Amino acid sequence: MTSRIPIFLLTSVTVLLRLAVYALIAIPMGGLASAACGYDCVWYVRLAAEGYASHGDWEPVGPVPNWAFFPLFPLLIRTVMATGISAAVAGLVVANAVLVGFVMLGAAWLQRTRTAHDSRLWVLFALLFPFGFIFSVPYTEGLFGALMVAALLAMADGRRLLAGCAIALMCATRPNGVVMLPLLAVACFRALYLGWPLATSRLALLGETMLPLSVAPLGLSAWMAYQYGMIGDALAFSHVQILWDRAWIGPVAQLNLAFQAWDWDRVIAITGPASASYNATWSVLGLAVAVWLGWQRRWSEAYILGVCILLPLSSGIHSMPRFVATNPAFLFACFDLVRRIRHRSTLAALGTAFAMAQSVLIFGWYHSANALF
Amino acid sequence: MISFRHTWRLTLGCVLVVAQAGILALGLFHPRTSPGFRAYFIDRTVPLVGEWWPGPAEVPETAIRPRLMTPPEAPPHLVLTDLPPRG
Repeated sequence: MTSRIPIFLLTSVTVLLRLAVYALIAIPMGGLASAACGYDCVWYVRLAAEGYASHGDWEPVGPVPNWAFFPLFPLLIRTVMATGISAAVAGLVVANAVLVGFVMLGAAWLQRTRTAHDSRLWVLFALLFPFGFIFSVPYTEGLFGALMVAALLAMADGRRLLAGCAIALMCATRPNGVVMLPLLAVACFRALYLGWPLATSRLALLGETMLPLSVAPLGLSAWMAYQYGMIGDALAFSHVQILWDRAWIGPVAQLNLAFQAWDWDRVIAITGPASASYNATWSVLGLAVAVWLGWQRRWSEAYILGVCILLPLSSGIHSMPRFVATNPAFLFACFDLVRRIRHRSTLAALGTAFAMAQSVLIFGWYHSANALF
Repeated sequence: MISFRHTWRLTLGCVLVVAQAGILALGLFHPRTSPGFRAYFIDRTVPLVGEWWPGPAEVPETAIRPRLMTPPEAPPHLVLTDLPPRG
Protein backbone atom coordinates (compact mmCIF):
# COMPACT_ATOMS: atom_id res chain seq x y z
CA MET A 1 0.00 0.00 0.00
CA THR A 2 1.35 3.40 -0.98
CA SER A 3 1.70 5.88 1.86
CA ARG A 4 -0.56 8.90 1.71
CA ILE A 5 2.08 11.55 2.38
CA PRO A 6 4.17 10.97 -0.78
CA ILE A 7 0.96 10.83 -2.81
CA PHE A 8 -0.20 14.10 -1.25
CA LEU A 9 3.14 15.73 -2.02
CA LEU A 10 3.18 14.39 -5.58
CA THR A 11 -0.39 15.61 -6.13
CA SER A 12 0.24 19.05 -4.66
CA VAL A 13 3.47 19.59 -6.60
CA THR A 14 1.88 18.41 -9.87
CA VAL A 15 -1.14 20.66 -9.35
CA LEU A 16 1.15 23.64 -8.70
CA LEU A 17 3.31 22.84 -11.74
CA ARG A 18 0.21 22.54 -13.85
CA LEU A 19 -1.03 25.90 -12.59
CA ALA A 20 2.34 27.42 -13.47
CA VAL A 21 1.97 26.16 -17.06
CA TYR A 22 -1.61 27.47 -17.20
CA ALA A 23 -0.35 30.84 -15.91
CA LEU A 24 2.32 30.97 -18.62
CA ILE A 25 -0.26 30.27 -21.32
CA ALA A 26 -2.54 32.90 -19.75
CA ILE A 27 0.00 35.76 -19.80
CA PRO A 28 -1.30 37.27 -23.09
CA MET A 29 -4.86 37.04 -21.73
CA GLY A 30 -4.23 39.19 -18.67
CA GLY A 31 -3.22 36.51 -16.17
CA LEU A 32 -4.44 33.19 -14.91
CA ALA A 33 -7.30 34.34 -12.67
CA SER A 34 -9.10 36.30 -15.36
CA ALA A 35 -8.31 33.94 -18.24
CA ALA A 36 -9.43 30.82 -16.36
CA CYS A 37 -12.67 32.39 -15.22
CA GLY A 38 -15.11 31.88 -18.08
CA TYR A 39 -18.64 30.62 -18.50
CA ASP A 40 -20.10 29.37 -15.19
CA CYS A 41 -17.11 30.65 -13.26
CA VAL A 42 -18.29 34.20 -13.91
CA TRP A 43 -21.57 33.34 -12.23
CA TYR A 44 -19.87 31.69 -9.27
CA VAL A 45 -17.44 34.49 -8.53
CA ARG A 46 -20.21 37.08 -8.82
CA LEU A 47 -22.34 35.03 -6.47
CA ALA A 48 -19.44 34.82 -4.04
CA ALA A 49 -18.94 38.56 -4.20
CA GLU A 50 -22.54 39.77 -4.34
CA GLY A 51 -24.82 36.95 -3.18
CA TYR A 52 -28.09 35.69 -4.58
CA ALA A 53 -30.03 38.86 -3.84
CA SER A 54 -28.02 40.70 -6.48
CA HIS A 55 -29.81 40.97 -9.77
CA GLY A 56 -26.72 40.36 -11.84
CA ASP A 57 -26.96 43.10 -14.42
CA TRP A 58 -25.59 41.57 -17.59
CA GLU A 59 -25.40 44.18 -20.27
CA PRO A 60 -27.09 44.36 -22.71
CA VAL A 61 -29.57 41.73 -21.56
CA GLY A 62 -30.34 43.28 -18.21
CA PRO A 63 -30.86 41.38 -14.98
CA VAL A 64 -30.56 37.64 -15.33
CA PRO A 65 -31.19 35.24 -12.45
CA ASN A 66 -28.44 33.29 -10.80
CA TRP A 67 -30.63 30.66 -9.16
CA ALA A 68 -29.33 27.81 -11.31
CA PHE A 69 -26.03 27.93 -9.43
CA PHE A 70 -25.97 26.00 -6.19
CA PRO A 71 -24.56 27.65 -3.08
CA LEU A 72 -21.76 25.50 -1.66
CA PHE A 73 -19.04 26.40 -4.17
CA PRO A 74 -19.63 30.19 -4.02
CA LEU A 75 -19.84 29.91 -0.22
CA LEU A 76 -16.38 28.32 -0.16
CA ILE A 77 -15.07 31.05 -2.46
CA ARG A 78 -16.62 33.63 -0.16
CA THR A 79 -14.89 32.02 2.81
CA VAL A 80 -11.49 32.18 1.12
CA MET A 81 -12.19 35.78 0.09
CA ALA A 82 -12.08 36.62 3.80
CA THR A 83 -8.27 36.45 3.47
CA GLY A 84 -8.45 39.55 1.29
CA ILE A 85 -7.99 38.04 -2.18
CA SER A 86 -10.32 38.63 -5.11
CA ALA A 87 -13.22 36.32 -5.92
CA ALA A 88 -11.55 35.02 -9.10
CA VAL A 89 -8.32 34.14 -7.26
CA ALA A 90 -10.30 32.64 -4.38
CA GLY A 91 -12.14 30.50 -6.93
CA LEU A 92 -8.81 29.19 -8.21
CA VAL A 93 -7.65 28.46 -4.66
CA VAL A 94 -10.82 26.55 -3.80
CA ALA A 95 -10.89 24.61 -7.08
CA ASN A 96 -7.28 23.48 -6.77
CA ALA A 97 -7.51 22.67 -3.06
CA VAL A 98 -10.49 20.40 -3.67
CA LEU A 99 -8.70 18.98 -6.72
CA VAL A 100 -5.92 17.73 -4.43
CA GLY A 101 -8.61 16.22 -2.21
CA PHE A 102 -10.32 14.61 -5.19
CA VAL A 103 -7.11 13.01 -6.48
CA MET A 104 -6.24 11.71 -2.99
CA LEU A 105 -9.71 10.29 -2.45
CA GLY A 106 -9.64 8.80 -5.95
CA ALA A 107 -6.36 7.07 -5.08
CA ALA A 108 -7.94 5.66 -1.92
CA TRP A 109 -10.99 4.43 -3.86
CA LEU A 110 -8.84 2.77 -6.52
CA GLN A 111 -6.67 1.23 -3.81
CA ARG A 112 -9.80 -0.29 -2.32
CA THR A 113 -11.47 -1.45 -5.53
CA ARG A 114 -8.61 -2.42 -7.85
CA THR A 115 -5.88 -4.98 -7.55
CA ALA A 116 -2.25 -3.96 -8.08
CA HIS A 117 -3.14 -0.30 -7.98
CA ASP A 118 -0.42 2.28 -8.60
CA SER A 119 -1.38 5.55 -6.87
CA ARG A 120 1.45 7.53 -8.47
CA LEU A 121 0.27 6.57 -11.94
CA TRP A 122 -3.26 7.59 -10.95
CA VAL A 123 -2.09 11.02 -9.80
CA LEU A 124 -0.27 11.64 -13.07
CA PHE A 125 -3.19 10.28 -15.09
CA ALA A 126 -5.82 12.41 -13.29
CA LEU A 127 -3.78 15.58 -13.67
CA LEU A 128 -2.64 15.01 -17.26
CA PHE A 129 -5.98 13.78 -18.61
CA PRO A 130 -6.83 16.26 -21.39
CA PHE A 131 -10.12 17.50 -19.91
CA GLY A 132 -8.64 17.41 -16.40
CA PHE A 133 -7.85 21.12 -16.63
CA ILE A 134 -11.52 21.77 -15.80
CA PHE A 135 -10.76 20.66 -12.23
CA SER A 136 -8.33 23.55 -11.89
CA VAL A 137 -10.60 26.34 -13.12
CA PRO A 138 -13.23 27.70 -10.73
CA TYR A 139 -15.94 25.18 -11.50
CA THR A 140 -17.77 22.74 -9.26
CA GLU A 141 -16.40 19.58 -10.91
CA GLY A 142 -13.57 19.01 -8.42
CA LEU A 143 -15.71 19.65 -5.36
CA PHE A 144 -18.49 17.46 -6.68
CA GLY A 145 -16.11 14.66 -7.62
CA ALA A 146 -14.29 14.79 -4.26
CA LEU A 147 -17.57 14.60 -2.34
CA MET A 148 -18.81 11.79 -4.57
CA VAL A 149 -15.72 9.65 -3.99
CA ALA A 150 -15.78 10.52 -0.26
CA ALA A 151 -19.39 9.27 -0.12
CA LEU A 152 -18.46 6.08 -1.96
CA LEU A 153 -15.55 5.42 0.40
CA ALA A 154 -17.67 6.11 3.48
CA MET A 155 -20.37 3.73 2.24
CA ALA A 156 -17.77 1.06 1.52
CA ASP A 157 -16.46 1.47 5.10
CA GLY A 158 -19.98 1.18 6.54
CA ARG A 159 -19.88 4.83 7.69
CA ARG A 160 -23.29 5.67 6.36
CA LEU A 161 -23.83 8.87 8.32
CA LEU A 162 -20.58 10.27 6.98
CA ALA A 163 -21.70 9.23 3.50
CA GLY A 164 -25.04 11.00 4.12
CA CYS A 165 -23.20 14.19 5.11
CA ALA A 166 -21.01 14.03 1.98
CA ILE A 167 -24.10 13.55 -0.19
CA ALA A 168 -25.81 16.46 1.59
CA LEU A 169 -22.85 18.64 0.56
CA MET A 170 -23.03 17.22 -2.98
CA CYS A 171 -26.70 18.22 -3.11
CA ALA A 172 -25.67 21.76 -2.14
CA THR A 173 -23.09 21.79 -4.95
CA ARG A 174 -25.00 20.58 -7.99
CA PRO A 175 -28.53 19.34 -8.65
CA ASN A 176 -27.43 15.85 -9.61
CA GLY A 177 -26.09 15.23 -6.11
CA VAL A 178 -29.39 13.44 -5.57
CA VAL A 179 -28.21 10.58 -7.81
CA MET A 180 -26.27 9.26 -4.81
CA LEU A 181 -29.43 8.79 -2.73
CA PRO A 182 -30.37 5.37 -4.21
CA LEU A 183 -26.86 4.06 -3.52
CA LEU A 184 -27.08 5.23 0.09
CA ALA A 185 -30.60 3.77 0.35
CA VAL A 186 -29.30 0.38 -0.76
CA ALA A 187 -26.49 0.55 1.85
CA CYS A 188 -28.91 1.60 4.60
CA PHE A 189 -31.60 -1.00 3.86
CA ARG A 190 -28.95 -3.68 3.54
CA ALA A 191 -27.59 -2.78 6.98
CA LEU A 192 -31.14 -2.80 8.37
CA TYR A 193 -31.89 -6.20 6.82
CA LEU A 194 -28.67 -7.77 8.07
CA GLY A 195 -28.87 -6.23 11.55
CA TRP A 196 -32.57 -6.82 12.21
CA PRO A 197 -32.40 -10.42 13.52
CA LEU A 198 -29.43 -9.64 15.80
CA ALA A 199 -30.43 -6.21 17.12
CA THR A 200 -30.91 -5.75 20.86
CA SER A 201 -32.89 -2.57 20.18
CA ARG A 202 -34.62 -2.49 16.83
CA LEU A 203 -35.64 1.15 17.30
CA ALA A 204 -31.98 2.06 17.73
CA LEU A 205 -31.08 0.03 14.65
CA LEU A 206 -33.86 1.68 12.65
CA GLY A 207 -32.62 5.12 13.70
CA GLU A 208 -28.99 4.27 13.03
CA THR A 209 -29.64 2.90 9.56
CA MET A 210 -32.24 5.44 8.43
CA LEU A 211 -30.80 8.72 9.79
CA PRO A 212 -28.21 8.96 6.99
CA LEU A 213 -31.00 8.78 4.41
CA SER A 214 -32.78 11.75 5.97
CA VAL A 215 -29.54 13.74 6.22
CA ALA A 216 -28.42 13.15 2.61
CA PRO A 217 -30.93 15.44 0.81
CA LEU A 218 -30.43 18.28 3.34
CA GLY A 219 -28.22 20.34 1.04
CA LEU A 220 -30.89 20.43 -1.64
CA SER A 221 -33.72 20.96 0.85
CA ALA A 222 -31.94 23.88 2.50
CA TRP A 223 -31.32 25.43 -0.93
CA MET A 224 -34.98 24.94 -1.85
CA ALA A 225 -36.13 26.52 1.42
CA TYR A 226 -33.83 29.49 0.78
CA GLN A 227 -35.19 29.91 -2.75
CA TYR A 228 -38.74 29.69 -1.47
CA GLY A 229 -38.01 32.48 0.96
CA MET A 230 -36.16 34.65 -1.55
CA ILE A 231 -38.06 34.06 -4.78
CA GLY A 232 -41.25 32.31 -3.74
CA ASP A 233 -40.44 29.25 -5.82
CA ALA A 234 -38.60 26.39 -4.11
CA LEU A 235 -37.88 24.84 -7.51
CA ALA A 236 -36.57 28.04 -9.06
CA PHE A 237 -33.17 26.39 -9.62
CA SER A 238 -34.89 23.98 -11.99
CA HIS A 239 -37.42 26.36 -13.55
CA VAL A 240 -34.73 28.88 -14.43
CA GLN A 241 -33.13 26.32 -16.75
CA ILE A 242 -35.51 27.56 -19.46
CA LEU A 243 -33.08 30.46 -19.90
CA TRP A 244 -30.55 27.95 -21.22
CA ASP A 245 -33.10 26.25 -23.39
CA ARG A 246 -33.27 23.21 -21.12
CA ALA A 247 -36.59 21.39 -21.25
CA TRP A 248 -37.35 17.81 -20.24
CA ILE A 249 -37.79 15.80 -23.46
CA GLY A 250 -35.84 12.69 -22.53
CA PRO A 251 -32.39 11.39 -23.46
CA VAL A 252 -33.43 9.40 -26.53
CA ALA A 253 -35.20 12.38 -28.10
CA GLN A 254 -32.23 14.62 -27.28
CA LEU A 255 -29.77 12.24 -28.90
CA ASN A 256 -32.03 11.79 -31.89
CA LEU A 257 -32.33 15.54 -32.44
CA ALA A 258 -28.61 16.05 -31.90
CA PHE A 259 -27.53 13.44 -34.43
CA GLN A 260 -30.13 14.63 -36.92
CA ALA A 261 -28.61 18.11 -36.67
CA TRP A 262 -25.23 16.68 -37.83
CA ASP A 263 -23.51 19.99 -37.14
CA TRP A 264 -19.88 18.99 -36.92
CA ASP A 265 -18.88 22.17 -38.69
CA ARG A 266 -19.54 23.97 -35.42
CA VAL A 267 -16.71 22.04 -33.76
CA ILE A 268 -14.35 23.34 -36.42
CA ALA A 269 -15.71 26.87 -35.98
CA ILE A 270 -14.64 26.49 -32.29
CA THR A 271 -15.99 29.73 -30.81
CA GLY A 272 -19.53 29.57 -32.17
CA PRO A 273 -22.50 27.74 -30.69
CA ALA A 274 -21.86 24.24 -29.40
CA SER A 275 -22.22 21.33 -31.80
CA ALA A 276 -25.14 19.09 -30.82
CA SER A 277 -23.63 16.09 -32.64
CA TYR A 278 -20.31 16.51 -30.82
CA ASN A 279 -22.11 16.70 -27.47
CA ALA A 280 -24.24 13.68 -28.36
CA THR A 281 -21.14 11.68 -29.27
CA TRP A 282 -19.67 12.39 -25.85
CA SER A 283 -22.95 11.27 -24.26
CA VAL A 284 -22.90 7.98 -26.17
CA LEU A 285 -19.24 7.46 -25.31
CA GLY A 286 -20.00 8.04 -21.63
CA LEU A 287 -22.96 5.66 -21.69
CA ALA A 288 -20.83 3.01 -23.41
CA VAL A 289 -18.23 3.36 -20.66
CA ALA A 290 -21.00 3.05 -18.05
CA VAL A 291 -22.12 -0.20 -19.69
CA TRP A 292 -18.50 -1.41 -19.70
CA LEU A 293 -18.19 -0.60 -15.98
CA GLY A 294 -21.35 -2.61 -15.40
CA TRP A 295 -19.84 -5.46 -17.41
CA GLN A 296 -16.88 -5.31 -15.02
CA ARG A 297 -19.38 -5.57 -12.12
CA ARG A 298 -18.43 -2.12 -10.89
CA TRP A 299 -22.08 -1.40 -10.23
CA SER A 300 -21.83 1.80 -8.23
CA GLU A 301 -19.49 3.43 -10.77
CA ALA A 302 -21.61 2.26 -13.69
CA TYR A 303 -24.74 3.64 -12.03
CA ILE A 304 -23.14 6.98 -11.16
CA LEU A 305 -21.75 7.54 -14.64
CA GLY A 306 -24.94 6.43 -16.39
CA VAL A 307 -27.30 8.52 -14.29
CA CYS A 308 -25.02 11.57 -14.26
CA ILE A 309 -25.20 11.48 -18.08
CA LEU A 310 -28.87 10.60 -18.50
CA LEU A 311 -30.10 13.24 -16.06
CA PRO A 312 -28.68 16.34 -17.77
CA LEU A 313 -29.07 14.75 -21.21
CA SER A 314 -32.82 14.47 -20.62
CA SER A 315 -33.18 18.23 -20.66
CA GLY A 316 -30.41 19.39 -22.98
CA ILE A 317 -27.36 18.36 -24.93
CA HIS A 318 -25.06 21.20 -23.87
CA SER A 319 -21.95 20.70 -21.73
CA MET A 320 -21.95 16.93 -22.11
CA PRO A 321 -18.17 16.68 -22.80
CA ARG A 322 -17.56 18.36 -19.45
CA PHE A 323 -20.13 16.25 -17.61
CA VAL A 324 -18.73 13.01 -19.03
CA ALA A 325 -14.99 13.70 -19.01
CA THR A 326 -14.90 15.00 -15.42
CA ASN A 327 -17.11 12.31 -13.93
CA PRO A 328 -15.00 10.34 -11.43
CA ALA A 329 -16.39 7.01 -12.69
CA PHE A 330 -15.39 7.89 -16.27
CA LEU A 331 -11.89 8.78 -15.10
CA PHE A 332 -11.62 5.52 -13.14
CA ALA A 333 -12.69 3.55 -16.21
CA CYS A 334 -10.17 5.34 -18.45
CA PHE A 335 -7.50 4.75 -15.81
CA ASP A 336 -8.38 1.04 -15.84
CA LEU A 337 -7.39 1.03 -19.51
CA VAL A 338 -4.24 3.08 -19.02
CA ARG A 339 -2.91 0.96 -16.16
CA ARG A 340 -2.99 -2.09 -18.43
CA ILE A 341 -0.12 -0.55 -20.37
CA ARG A 342 3.04 -2.26 -19.20
CA HIS A 343 5.73 -0.52 -21.26
CA ARG A 344 7.07 2.62 -19.63
CA SER A 345 7.90 4.14 -23.01
CA THR A 346 4.27 3.77 -24.12
CA LEU A 347 3.08 5.33 -20.86
CA ALA A 348 5.52 8.20 -21.31
CA ALA A 349 4.33 8.77 -24.87
CA LEU A 350 0.71 8.72 -23.72
CA GLY A 351 1.48 11.15 -20.88
CA THR A 352 3.16 13.52 -23.32
CA ALA A 353 0.20 13.32 -25.70
CA PHE A 354 -2.21 13.98 -22.80
CA ALA A 355 -0.19 16.97 -21.62
CA MET A 356 -0.11 18.46 -25.12
CA ALA A 357 -3.85 17.90 -25.58
CA GLN A 358 -4.53 19.50 -22.22
CA SER A 359 -2.43 22.54 -23.15
CA VAL A 360 -4.40 22.93 -26.36
CA LEU A 361 -7.70 22.61 -24.48
CA ILE A 362 -6.78 25.15 -21.78
CA PHE A 363 -5.69 27.50 -24.58
CA GLY A 364 -9.11 26.95 -26.15
CA TRP A 365 -10.77 27.56 -22.79
CA TYR A 366 -8.99 30.90 -22.46
CA HIS A 367 -10.19 31.83 -25.94
CA SER A 368 -13.83 30.90 -25.34
CA ALA A 369 -13.77 27.84 -27.54
CA ASN A 370 -17.02 26.75 -25.97
CA ALA A 371 -17.78 24.39 -28.85
CA LEU A 372 -15.27 21.97 -27.32
CA PHE A 373 -16.62 21.85 -23.77
CA MET B 1 -37.80 -0.03 27.89
CA ILE B 2 -37.59 2.63 25.18
CA SER B 3 -35.00 5.28 26.07
CA PHE B 4 -33.80 8.50 24.47
CA ARG B 5 -30.47 6.82 23.79
CA HIS B 6 -32.25 4.34 21.57
CA THR B 7 -34.62 6.68 19.79
CA TRP B 8 -32.90 10.04 19.23
CA ARG B 9 -31.60 9.10 15.78
CA LEU B 10 -35.00 7.85 14.72
CA THR B 11 -36.70 10.97 16.09
CA LEU B 12 -34.22 13.28 14.38
CA GLY B 13 -34.58 11.31 11.12
CA CYS B 14 -38.38 11.61 11.24
CA VAL B 15 -38.20 15.37 11.94
CA LEU B 16 -35.82 15.85 9.00
CA VAL B 17 -38.00 13.77 6.67
CA VAL B 18 -41.16 15.70 7.59
CA ALA B 19 -39.40 19.08 7.24
CA GLN B 20 -37.95 18.19 3.85
CA ALA B 21 -41.25 16.76 2.63
CA GLY B 22 -42.83 20.07 3.62
CA ILE B 23 -40.29 22.06 1.63
CA LEU B 24 -40.82 19.81 -1.40
CA ALA B 25 -44.60 20.15 -1.09
CA LEU B 26 -44.28 23.94 -0.97
CA GLY B 27 -42.15 23.81 -4.09
CA LEU B 28 -44.52 21.55 -5.99
CA PHE B 29 -47.92 22.82 -4.90
CA HIS B 30 -47.63 26.28 -3.42
CA PRO B 31 -45.23 28.58 -5.21
CA ARG B 32 -45.94 32.14 -4.08
CA THR B 33 -44.77 33.79 -7.25
CA SER B 34 -46.48 36.30 -9.48
CA PRO B 35 -48.64 35.06 -12.38
CA GLY B 36 -46.09 36.52 -14.77
CA PHE B 37 -43.31 34.57 -13.14
CA ARG B 38 -45.42 31.43 -13.22
CA ALA B 39 -46.36 31.87 -16.86
CA TYR B 40 -42.75 32.25 -17.88
CA PHE B 41 -40.81 29.96 -15.57
CA ILE B 42 -43.23 27.30 -14.42
CA ASP B 43 -45.90 26.93 -17.12
CA ARG B 44 -43.49 28.18 -19.80
CA THR B 45 -46.32 29.64 -21.82
CA VAL B 46 -44.85 33.11 -22.21
CA PRO B 47 -41.67 33.78 -24.17
CA LEU B 48 -39.15 36.11 -22.64
CA VAL B 49 -39.05 39.69 -23.84
CA GLY B 50 -36.73 42.24 -22.38
CA GLU B 51 -36.26 42.69 -18.68
CA TRP B 52 -38.28 40.25 -16.69
CA TRP B 53 -36.72 39.96 -13.23
CA PRO B 54 -39.65 39.79 -10.82
CA GLY B 55 -37.59 40.84 -7.80
CA PRO B 56 -38.03 39.65 -4.23
CA ALA B 57 -40.30 42.59 -3.41
CA GLU B 58 -42.66 41.76 -6.24
CA VAL B 59 -43.30 38.17 -5.38
CA PRO B 60 -46.97 38.62 -4.28
CA GLU B 61 -49.71 37.55 -6.66
CA THR B 62 -50.62 41.14 -7.49
CA ALA B 63 -47.28 41.79 -9.12
CA ILE B 64 -47.64 41.22 -12.83
CA ARG B 65 -44.98 42.79 -14.87
CA PRO B 66 -46.43 43.85 -18.20
CA ARG B 67 -43.06 43.40 -19.84
CA LEU B 68 -43.31 39.71 -19.20
CA MET B 69 -46.27 39.51 -21.53
CA THR B 70 -45.51 39.33 -25.20
CA PRO B 71 -46.85 42.17 -27.29
CA PRO B 72 -47.73 40.99 -30.80
CA GLU B 73 -45.01 43.04 -32.39
CA ALA B 74 -42.32 41.92 -30.00
CA PRO B 75 -39.66 39.44 -31.04
CA PRO B 76 -40.78 35.98 -29.98
CA HIS B 77 -37.74 35.10 -27.90
CA LEU B 78 -34.77 36.61 -26.26
CA VAL B 79 -31.77 35.48 -28.25
CA LEU B 80 -30.22 32.98 -25.89
CA THR B 81 -26.73 33.63 -27.15
CA ASP B 82 -27.00 37.09 -25.60
CA LEU B 83 -26.99 35.53 -22.16
CA PRO B 84 -23.80 35.04 -20.24
CA PRO B 85 -22.79 31.64 -21.53
CA ARG B 86 -22.67 28.48 -19.52
CA GLY B 87 -19.84 26.13 -20.23
